[in-house]
Amino acid sequence: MPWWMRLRKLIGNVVWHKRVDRDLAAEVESYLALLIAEKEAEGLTPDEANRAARIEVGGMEQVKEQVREARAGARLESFLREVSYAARTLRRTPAFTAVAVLSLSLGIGANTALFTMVNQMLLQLLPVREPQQLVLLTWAGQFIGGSSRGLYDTFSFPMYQDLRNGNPGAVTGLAARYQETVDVSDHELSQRAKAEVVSGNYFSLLDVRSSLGRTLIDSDDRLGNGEPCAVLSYKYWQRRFGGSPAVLNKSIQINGQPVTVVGVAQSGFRGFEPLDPSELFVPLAMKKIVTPTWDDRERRDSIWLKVFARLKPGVSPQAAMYGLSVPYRAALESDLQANGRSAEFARRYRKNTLQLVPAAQGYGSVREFFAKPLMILMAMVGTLLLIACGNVASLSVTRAAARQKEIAIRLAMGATRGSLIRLMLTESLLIAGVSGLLGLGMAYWIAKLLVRAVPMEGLAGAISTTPDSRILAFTVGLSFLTAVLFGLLPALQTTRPDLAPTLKVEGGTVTLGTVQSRLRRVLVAAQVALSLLLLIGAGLFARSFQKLLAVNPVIRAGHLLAFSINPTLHLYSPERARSLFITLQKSLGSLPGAASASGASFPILANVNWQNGTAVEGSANRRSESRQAGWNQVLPGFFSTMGIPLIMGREFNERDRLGAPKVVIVNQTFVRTFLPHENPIGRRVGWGGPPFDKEIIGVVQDFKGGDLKDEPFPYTITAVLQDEKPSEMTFYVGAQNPGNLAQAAMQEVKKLDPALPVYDIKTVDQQIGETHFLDRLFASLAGAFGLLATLLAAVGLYGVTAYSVARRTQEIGIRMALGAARSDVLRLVLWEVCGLVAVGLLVGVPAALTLGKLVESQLYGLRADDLLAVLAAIAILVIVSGIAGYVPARRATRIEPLEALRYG
Amino acid sequence: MAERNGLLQGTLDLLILKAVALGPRHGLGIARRITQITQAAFEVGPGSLFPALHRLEEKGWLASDWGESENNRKAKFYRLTKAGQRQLETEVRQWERIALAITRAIEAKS
Repeated sequence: MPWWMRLRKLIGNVVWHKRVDRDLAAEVESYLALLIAEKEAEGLTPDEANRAARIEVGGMEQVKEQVREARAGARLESFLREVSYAARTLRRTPAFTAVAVLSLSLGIGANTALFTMVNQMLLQLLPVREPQQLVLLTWAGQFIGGSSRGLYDTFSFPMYQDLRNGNPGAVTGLAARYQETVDVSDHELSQRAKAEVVSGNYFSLLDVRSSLGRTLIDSDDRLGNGEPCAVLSYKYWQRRFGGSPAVLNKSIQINGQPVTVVGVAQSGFRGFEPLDPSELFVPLAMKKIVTPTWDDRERRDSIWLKVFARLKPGVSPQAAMYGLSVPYRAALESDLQANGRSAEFARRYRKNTLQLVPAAQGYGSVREFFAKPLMILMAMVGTLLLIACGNVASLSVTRAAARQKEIAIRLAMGATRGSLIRLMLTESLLIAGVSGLLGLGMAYWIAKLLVRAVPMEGLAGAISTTPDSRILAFTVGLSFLTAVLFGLLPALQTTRPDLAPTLKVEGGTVTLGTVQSRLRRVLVAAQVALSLLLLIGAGLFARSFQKLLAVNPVIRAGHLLAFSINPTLHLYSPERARSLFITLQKSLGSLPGAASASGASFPILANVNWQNGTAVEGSANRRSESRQAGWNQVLPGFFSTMGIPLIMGREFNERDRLGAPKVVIVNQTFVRTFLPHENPIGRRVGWGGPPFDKEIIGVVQDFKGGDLKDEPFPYTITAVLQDEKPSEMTFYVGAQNPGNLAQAAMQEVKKLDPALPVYDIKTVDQQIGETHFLDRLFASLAGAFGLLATLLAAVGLYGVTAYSVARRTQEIGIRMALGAARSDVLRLVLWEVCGLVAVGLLVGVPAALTLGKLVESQLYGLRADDLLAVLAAIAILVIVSGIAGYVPARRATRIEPLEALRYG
Repeated sequence: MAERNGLLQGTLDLLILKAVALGPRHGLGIARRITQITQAAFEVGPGSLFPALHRLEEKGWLASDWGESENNRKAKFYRLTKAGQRQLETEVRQWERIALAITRAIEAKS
């Protein structure tokens, strides 16, 4: 039979099962009638004929049942029957059903939401052909441009060329990329965008096609070959150009230079680091347009390119690495030739090694940053779901106890234990299924909220909250798992075949057997332990965040407005840029309400950490050539504007300009590290060693530069006005109410150059919030999870206690009749609660201390065994448990002995 | 179910298809026809007959219509479809092969 006919039958049988059933009944009736007629024809009386025929047919119902079983979709039909029966049973206990569905859907929703983030941020492969073949090149050893050694994932341009040209067939090909923020102008509108500078073979090596026009090819990447061109990402094309095909061959301006759009990349391709999406792609030959203030394509001592390769099928990364080591060795020699270094350095430099790491997911700095926090949050919501499961399981046990009589009768009537377990599991599956469906909807919104909490615009845009097949599979699997978790144990317990005792119980008062009570107690104790885990987690993250907020950044964060401009992306010459900075600083400082204004090349407290190898002339500290020190360059009056106290010497002023002696200001830790017990003023500093061309003119107090978690670190600050090629500038305006000045500040920029875009305009307080969004997110999420967990555990505890009181009404009545005081009864009940909580704590505290080590890296200023957090969690849990136990215990004391005895 | 009537399921199917090969019959008619053509070797009760009829109908080998019986009673008549005709031929061939093989096996001298 063709499948469609079978399907039609199946659907017909299920959908029109009433009609099909009527038809069957009529058919069997007619068979009987014909049989009777036959018997009568044989000479029997109507009565005899009737009886004989019925005996011959046997049971009419059995016949029909056998037909039904033979029909298509019999399984489905009986399944649907079971489901509808389960639904009817559940509807009879609406409170149970509602509580179960609500808590489970919350749990499943939170888990699915987190998994959506995990899926989007940790599990996606690059949308290119055979991404498993891609490897990222990294190297370990000495850096030719300094004295530091380490593990690096960037290469110099000449090194990349050497590797690519010398590739002895070890890999299919090597491509390189570098990402930078650029300014894209189209007519009047100027906006920032992420540009990926790529080698000409980038698209062909990845096998990324174009959805309009063409992608970049090798000939685009040759200097002086035709006009500069760019390929847009699909998303950028949609957002900025409305997805119009007219964009093809259109001339746009990148950093003020005309560039022709030659195509749009395939939809979904966001560049080599998908979580830091690129919006347009330009050939490496256009590097100078993208970074007008530096080129470095000739330099062998400047590493900035990410290089990746496609492995040949069947070739291991190890084998490919050996192949590539040949040109790598040669390139190291060229490096040494180009940069005269000591023989000792050369000896060490030749020991540098190349490593190929899997890059099926592309480059992953953002991914690596979020991996651990996401796993921690995932573990938290998983625990939450376990607690919810425990609650529902515990409720199910009670509910099953109420049905003990029914179950016993069913067992006595011959139902198998398996069929009863199936019946109860069907109910569990139904609850879990509905919860899963609700959870999926909830997850969509929770995930949206989570994405909204991410301040990185590119990243937030790269995360899709729309459930894909993996999310659906996760939710279905999770729902199924929860059903088994909360359904199987109670089902097994309540269908134990020792039914005789149950049937013997008189009347309707069936109570939980000792086994079931024990099961419930274990469940509640487990819930207490698990919620203690989450509560301690909540305490740790709250304390960590509190410590973070209490950090004194030294700068006056609450009274500063910040915004950034980058005139060099608008064809400004360095001189024009410097004069713009000075003019703008003056006009900003004289805005009504503004106290002063200044600026810095790198924004403060925005997770930007620039470091230089630094040395001081004649320093007592000669153990190495130089040491790492933080670096920034600022406009005059920076420290007074930011509120950073000057300890010695003077600040920069407008006379510290190009041509004047070079000056530098250092922080206290710098002095302690490089010039302990010496007067730093007048000493000379050099980057990485000689020439020592910068004179220390002042010392400032240590301040937080990168983020609030910064440990004291040597820091050098130079004058922007002495920079030959200044580029980006973040201005700071000091004011009582900095937020009110935003409009006025933007107006000032517009007055000077209407075409110059102003970006990242926000108060420093806001900036700190964004820099530390993960800490805030952790604190609030962990708090919410801890609260929810405690609530769930309290409900579980309340349920167990209330049930136990109800069961012991008679006993308590007798005790009171025999002279027990109400306080004795109270103690009796609360004693039980105490036991459960104590067991939970005994398990939970050591578990929390062990697991705490896993989250320690996310904590600031405290360890995972922080006494206050642990004690607070225990205190909260004990108080809440106390209340949850006290309410039913009070009820126990109100038992009237007489009534208890009479109606017990 | 196969043993319920002492009949293999395939055998019952074959007998039913054969019973309606000459024209539509209702359930009782099919049962009586099977008794007749097997010379009472097989008696098919409603408990085996009806599931088999419905199964064969779902497979598309039989089609059914309500009609009047010889003594003017309402009854459901089953008839062989084209697919059923082909199936009957296949099953007959198959049965002959099996029967021959079994007969030979039994008669074989060791």
